Amino acid sequence: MKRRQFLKEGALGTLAGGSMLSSELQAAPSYNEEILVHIFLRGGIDGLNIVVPLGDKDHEYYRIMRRRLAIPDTSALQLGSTEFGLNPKAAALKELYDAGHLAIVHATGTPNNIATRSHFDAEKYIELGTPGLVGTSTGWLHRHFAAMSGVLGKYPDEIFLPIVALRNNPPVSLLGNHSVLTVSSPGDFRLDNAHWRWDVSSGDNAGYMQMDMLPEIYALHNDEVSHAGNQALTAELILRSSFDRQYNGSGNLPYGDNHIARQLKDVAQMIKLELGTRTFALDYGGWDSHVSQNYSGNFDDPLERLSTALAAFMDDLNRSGGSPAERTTIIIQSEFGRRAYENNATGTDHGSGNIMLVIGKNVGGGKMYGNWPGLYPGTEDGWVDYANPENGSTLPELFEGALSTTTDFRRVLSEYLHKRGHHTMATLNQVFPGYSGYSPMGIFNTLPDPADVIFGSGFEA
Amino acid sequence: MRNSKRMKRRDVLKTSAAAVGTAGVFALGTLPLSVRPAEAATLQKRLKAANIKPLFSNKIARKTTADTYLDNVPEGQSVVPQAAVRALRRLAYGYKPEDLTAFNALGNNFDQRLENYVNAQLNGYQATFPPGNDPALTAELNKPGTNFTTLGDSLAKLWQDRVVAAPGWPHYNYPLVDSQYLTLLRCVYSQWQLAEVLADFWHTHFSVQGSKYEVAPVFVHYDRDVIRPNMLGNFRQMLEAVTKSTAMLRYLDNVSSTKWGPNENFARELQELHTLGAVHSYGFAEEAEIPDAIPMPGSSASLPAGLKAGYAEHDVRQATLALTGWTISTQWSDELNSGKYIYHGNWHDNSSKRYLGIDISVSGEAEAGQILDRLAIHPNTARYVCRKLCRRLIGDDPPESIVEAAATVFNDKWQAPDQLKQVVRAIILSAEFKDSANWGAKSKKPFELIAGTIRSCGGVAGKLVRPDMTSYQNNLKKGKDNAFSQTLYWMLNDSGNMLFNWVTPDGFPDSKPAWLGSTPLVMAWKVINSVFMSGYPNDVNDPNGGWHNFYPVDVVSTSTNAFPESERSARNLVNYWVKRILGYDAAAQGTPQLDAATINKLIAFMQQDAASPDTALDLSADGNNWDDTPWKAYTAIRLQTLVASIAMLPDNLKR
Repeated sequence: MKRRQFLKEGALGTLAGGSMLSSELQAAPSYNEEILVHIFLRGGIDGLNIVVPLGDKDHEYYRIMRRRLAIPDTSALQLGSTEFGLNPKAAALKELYDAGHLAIVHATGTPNNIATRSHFDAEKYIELGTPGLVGTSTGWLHRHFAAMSGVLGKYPDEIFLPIVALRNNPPVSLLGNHSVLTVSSPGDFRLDNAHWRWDVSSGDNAGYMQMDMLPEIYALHNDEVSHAGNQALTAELILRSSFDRQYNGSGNLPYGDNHIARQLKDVAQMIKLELGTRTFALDYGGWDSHVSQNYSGNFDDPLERLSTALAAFMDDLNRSGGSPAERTTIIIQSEFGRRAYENNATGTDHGSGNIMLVIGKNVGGGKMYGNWPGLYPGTEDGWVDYANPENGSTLPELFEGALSTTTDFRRVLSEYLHKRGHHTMATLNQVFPGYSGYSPMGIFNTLPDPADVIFGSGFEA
Repeated sequence: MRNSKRMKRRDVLKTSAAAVGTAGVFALGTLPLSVRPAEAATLQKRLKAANIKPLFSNKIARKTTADTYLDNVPEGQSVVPQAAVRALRRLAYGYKPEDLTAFNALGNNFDQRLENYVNAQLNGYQATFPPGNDPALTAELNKPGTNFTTLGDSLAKLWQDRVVAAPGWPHYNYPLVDSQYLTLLRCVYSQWQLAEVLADFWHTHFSVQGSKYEVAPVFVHYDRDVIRPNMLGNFRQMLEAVTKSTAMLRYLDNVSSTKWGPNENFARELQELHTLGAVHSYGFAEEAEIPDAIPMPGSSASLPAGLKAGYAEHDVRQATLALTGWTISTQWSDELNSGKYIYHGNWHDNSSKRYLGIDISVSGEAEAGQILDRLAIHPNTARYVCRKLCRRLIGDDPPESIVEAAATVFNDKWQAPDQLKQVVRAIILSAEFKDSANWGAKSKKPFELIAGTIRSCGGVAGKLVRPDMTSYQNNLKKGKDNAFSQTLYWMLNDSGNMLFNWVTPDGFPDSKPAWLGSTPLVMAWKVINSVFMSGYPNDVNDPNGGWHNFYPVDVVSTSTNAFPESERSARNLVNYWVKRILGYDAAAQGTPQLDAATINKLIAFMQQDAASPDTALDLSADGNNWDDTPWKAYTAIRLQTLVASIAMLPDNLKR
């Protein structure tokens, strides 16, 4: 039904005589079953120390600016034939890269001319999807969902748990969304802890129980708190009835036992439970390494945990059979990178350009994307007196002491939305209002969709 | 193969909730996990009975217009409590009918009573801080075996015992846990409730992550000597006290900021979070591009000539340099190692500086003082701080009129010793605060909900103690109070609202969307169930053996005291506890009442198989005689569960 509506609204009715179209309309609607796992690395992760520049000049600048923190070219894990290497703590990511399931975008983020070095504003710029503005009333993931379920008609009319945020409260990217389940620990998310005689009805417990009464009361009114409580009680019942607290995955690689590992393990289980979830929003924070970044607990360990858990997650999905692995894409980003110069406390301060990681079986992996701006520090930076005029210029390649941003993060996200979600130019413009830089870099493989066969998407020449 | 699977899933998703079969929702072909059979029937019944819908349904609200994607949740008809109840439910942790009685005795009309209430609350707290005239709190603190160890320790002693002596975990953490439990006790027992509401605000405004190693050992000092003595005083003084506090200096790394390696972490947040707010940031703009600050209309504050309207990156750098050398005494700085603030002149950057458009006219330690002056007198600091205060006290999106009115007081009185008290008075005594349209413009945070529920129900039967953090076993051996307190501690953590424990310097969020998520709700409700019933092993040395229940918050004895045996009916008990917790008085004709549908469901729960809502229930029945007389069995624990459920009502989430 939705498809038909879309066709009318799209003024494409002139094609309605085609036999392909009428047969398409009579078949069940082709819902989009792609799953996005979005991981936000809060605090501003130091991408320069994860995907390390190995080119002659840049590596030299890097080593000079990071006297104590640099990853030497002798230990970085060379990425194919590129001039970059991975931090050895991210060895698990190297395997995903070599298998073609990891694509790396470097020097990406919020464009220099509107960048901010405030964590909170930088996060809002990205999560609201409107860089430069912090007052936007909805987040980009919400607008993506709204377009898919609304005008695009790509989602079914009802989904039990359409969006899950593994947090205590919804991220800004989901601002405005009333269908998100926020659950920081699905295994503990149960409300059957009143006295057994009065909690939930089962067996000979046939009375009127607390968990009969509360959902009924929360369904009585349609105000905001009732709506929220109703959602919570629905999700509680679904998860209490299905979630296995002992779940340990079907893969051979260990997840580990830490915050990101537990989250990814929970996501894998929920994907396999087929609860209808299309978007998972995860956080893995603590990257604000102003001090002692060389202390392993501040950077190396969390990086290793993240890499290990991501590899285990992909392995788990791959080995469980069925479609989950084919349908799932992970996109990882942070609010900004860090300064190219380390500070006096063996840490790094807030910077600009950073990496984005894209993982999945439908990703053009084993490649790096973006335009590398270089690390030449120039002589103008007010913080450190460093001059190296040998390239004939004193203009820095750095932006305000940090890696410059050459790829707008929206370019990566919008390619995902189009290639894996069949967003139109109109709906992309709703997800990222005012953004006109749509131009696919080839990071994502295009998901086949009958609608494209009929109408073409209008994006690719 | 893939197709058939897709079809199946699609069918499931298309099926409406009420018609979902036992095997339908989750059991799909070869899935490794499925609904456990024992619970499948329950699930189906609940989905039907409770009219539970999928979290997303286009059938409920189909939004296809291109210009708006906001799910517009319509406001239903919900009741608004009377003015005095609204005020008390906002200005205290948990409503109490006794509060209303006292409030009504404070004057001849509501305005008079509110003004007298606010004055009494704020003056009373200040006159007796640290708690003197606070009998209920003092009694709790004086109970033997509460385990508090660091509340009386000076900063020097905290530093010596918890940092220098390096006692290891959990000992270095006790100043934090002591402060968390002291605050919980205050929220439940103190008569100076408004002070607790404001302490929560200022701890959120100047948030430090208490559990960080740098912060936990000195947290008692931060709460007792930095936040609380200043929160009704002068903002400029408070700002300096926070900037010089051991907790903040360590939390945001200013301790190690030197001219050789300036660390901008604190200096950035000073403007962005503590004073002007990111809304007044001009990013990388040049000074000439930033407009001048406009004096606050109606304020006598005279702004320095040329003061800019906001800050830019160059101001962050200048503030960073001005703050180099603001550190603490350690074995590396001055070797005295006292943990106190010191100014380390050798570490200070002596270049000339300019801040918010004006040269800094002093040198050394005084530079940062001049920066704090400019921030404190700035009209946009007044607006930023007052908007946050109004958001806490009135609603998520406070009317501009009250923000501007409060900011005018803030700016005009910027040098007054009771500046912040005057600002709070202006907000609470405003028409906007009193306006019934602003009721429910905020929801309670989990901690408010939990502490408030305990307070409404008269506190805990035993005592709240600072638990032994080493192991649950050790707490069990120390008795029920320890065991319950530790359970409560971990459950508060799970709610996402454990006091003083927000990781980033922006502090706990203060908006409805942040706290109406499913996790905060379910986890807070879980805690509420647990404060009405907890478990304890019959033999503390054998926690794997039998356990028995006990009631940390005991509403059975309160109920039996309130009603003679013949009047302990479902209806009376529901009305009594709705009045105690929510302030709706069924006996008072013409006053706002909780909706009848909700009341009837509560009565049905309490009544079960009893003949009528007015049949007297045997509240002493706590045994397993279910088969003989169902409505007499487990009546006591049923009452405990009833009161927990009242505390979980949507109405109790509003403030």
